[in-house]
Amino acid sequence: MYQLLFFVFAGAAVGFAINLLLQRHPIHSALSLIGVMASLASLYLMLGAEFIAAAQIIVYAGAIMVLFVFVIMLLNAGEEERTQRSRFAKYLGLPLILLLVTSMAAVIYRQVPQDAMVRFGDFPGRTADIGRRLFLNYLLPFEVVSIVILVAIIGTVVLARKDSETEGPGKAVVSEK
Amino acid sequence: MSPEDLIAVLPEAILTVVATAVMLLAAFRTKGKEEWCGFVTLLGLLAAMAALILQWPPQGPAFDGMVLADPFSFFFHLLFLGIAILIVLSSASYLRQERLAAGEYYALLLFATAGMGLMAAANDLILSFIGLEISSLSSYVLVGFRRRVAISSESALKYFLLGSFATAFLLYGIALLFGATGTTRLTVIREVLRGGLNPVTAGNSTEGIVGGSPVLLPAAAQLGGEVPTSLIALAIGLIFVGLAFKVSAAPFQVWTPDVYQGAPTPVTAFLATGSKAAAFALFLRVFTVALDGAVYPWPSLLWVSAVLSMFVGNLAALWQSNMKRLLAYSSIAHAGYMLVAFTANSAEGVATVMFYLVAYALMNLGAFAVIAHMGNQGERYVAIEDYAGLGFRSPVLAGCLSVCLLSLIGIPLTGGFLGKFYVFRAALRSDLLGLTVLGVLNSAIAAYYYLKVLVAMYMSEPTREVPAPPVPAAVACVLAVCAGGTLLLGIAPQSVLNFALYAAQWLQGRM
Repeated sequence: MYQLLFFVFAGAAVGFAINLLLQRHPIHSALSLIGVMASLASLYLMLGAEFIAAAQIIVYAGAIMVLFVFVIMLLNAGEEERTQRSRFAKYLGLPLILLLVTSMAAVIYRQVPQDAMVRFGDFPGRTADIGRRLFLNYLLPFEVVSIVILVAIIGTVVLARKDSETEGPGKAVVSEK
Repeated sequence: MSPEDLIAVLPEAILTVVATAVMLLAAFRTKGKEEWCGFVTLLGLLAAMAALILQWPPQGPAFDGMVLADPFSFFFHLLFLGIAILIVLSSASYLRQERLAAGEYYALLLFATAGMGLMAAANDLILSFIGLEISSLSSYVLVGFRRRVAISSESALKYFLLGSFATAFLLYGIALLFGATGTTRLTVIREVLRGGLNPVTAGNSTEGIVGGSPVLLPAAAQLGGEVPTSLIALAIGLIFVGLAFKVSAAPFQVWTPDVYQGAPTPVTAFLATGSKAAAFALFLRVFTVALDGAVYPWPSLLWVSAVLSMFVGNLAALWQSNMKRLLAYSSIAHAGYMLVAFTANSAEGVATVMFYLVAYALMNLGAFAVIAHMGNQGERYVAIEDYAGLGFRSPVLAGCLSVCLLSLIGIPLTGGFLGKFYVFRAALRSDLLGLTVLGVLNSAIAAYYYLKVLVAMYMSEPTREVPAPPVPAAVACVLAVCAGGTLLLGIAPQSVLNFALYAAQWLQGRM
């Protein structure tokens, strides 16, 4: 039962991911991405990490995907144009990726013991555990992450705003209409 | 949180607060805000340096071992803050000339410096990673700061995409290492890999990631206490990819010339010196502390990368006609020299990398300051032929650039020479004869393209009219510090070298 579920969701994740790349219309790709996120969330849940599963759904499948779809609609993005890909990527890219992935899979398969299944509560995946750890052992990294977010916000503003010579604070509101 | 904890992260805290203050200042002041922002930024950097003094004598672990305020971190903090001060001084006139928003520029510079400081001080891969992300995100934005220039945006996008890709490799490597050892604490990983500490108890102790019960059994524990060698080898490989990208070592150097060329010149200088030094700090800490060379043969990986970097950088630089691209390839080659010392895998090798980073920072900051000044509005004059006859038009400027270039070649009496000398000495002491021969060969190749610039400056006639504006006081100050520092390191290297050696021994011994 566990293995069956695993292969269903793992297969779905890979299938959606491939579909994401093959689709030519951005909105179809975005929808596939939701599929990938949802399948991954199910896999996390099966590993007993219910908090991460919920966060995956709320943050990725929810908030971030809404943002993606908004951007796609705002930009009115049409069909993707295929550029003439570089010959190096065309002939060597796929084999090299397959080589990397298979060798990683082989190492992990050999060295990580194949446990039958993970039961809920086997390791600290509960929300309370994560919260305690986050605010006690990992307080410093948790606080420092706020700088990452601040830098990202400043970066977006710097790169996306109009030239400062030509606009004042009042004009920005008008130009939005 | 005890006062010691606070002192351990005080420089970063000051930098962050000042960065926010600079942005507020830029928002509220309308007149002369560029000067004010630059001034406050400088004050903040000096304050962070003063806060660093409180960390002496080294206290060691803070935040339950999350941060190590050791001599190694002290050394790199001084280096980062010094680099940032020189960058701020050489940016002021550039920002005015290109009409860039000073507030955000200085704020991002300060944030990047804070991130680098965390990279050098962190003893936990999670914190190192977050520090790396702070400095990388800030650099991505800084690279694209000339938004009206297409090449700048292009290089920012390239840097962002490739950089995130490399970061993903690093993160995957960290995850696998955690899976194999059950902890992300560098010093604990070292104990687990040496077999001195049972992975289960490592996971169970307060230092490990899983404090208290229930315990997450790492792969090692389930194999009966045996360390999963090939899983860790895989992790080393992935971490190496991520970090080699950041230090622009071959074969992960492809982004370097384009990004260095497109970025605003002071930012290029910051990438070449600050970001590289921070990445090397993290590189050294992860590889010599956690993945102790006695247990894993990662030096052979570095051997290949060092040779590739030296040859790719030096051979490609021979054909360049743009000064920024030339120095980009030179930066790849110099990453190669530093990897040579790193491959030696000894306390002396680590100290040599640290010494080389200081010498490299000084000579590169000087060279880039001249390029930024010569470039004029829109960076129009960055070709080597624009430097023709500079030796007669502005002898002082040309003199400073010459000192820096001679140091990059490795002529005696400069910091670059002693840096290279120590690199090859460290390699020879670890019986790396082949690597040393290849390194010396490369220094000879490299002399050609630096001499090309020197010949242009002193022996050829200018082909087109290149304006020579007067040198602003701040830039003159930077040039004096860089040229003087380069010569000083070439004559009296002992204090820097001894301190680096002390820090390296502390890094290897006290864990």
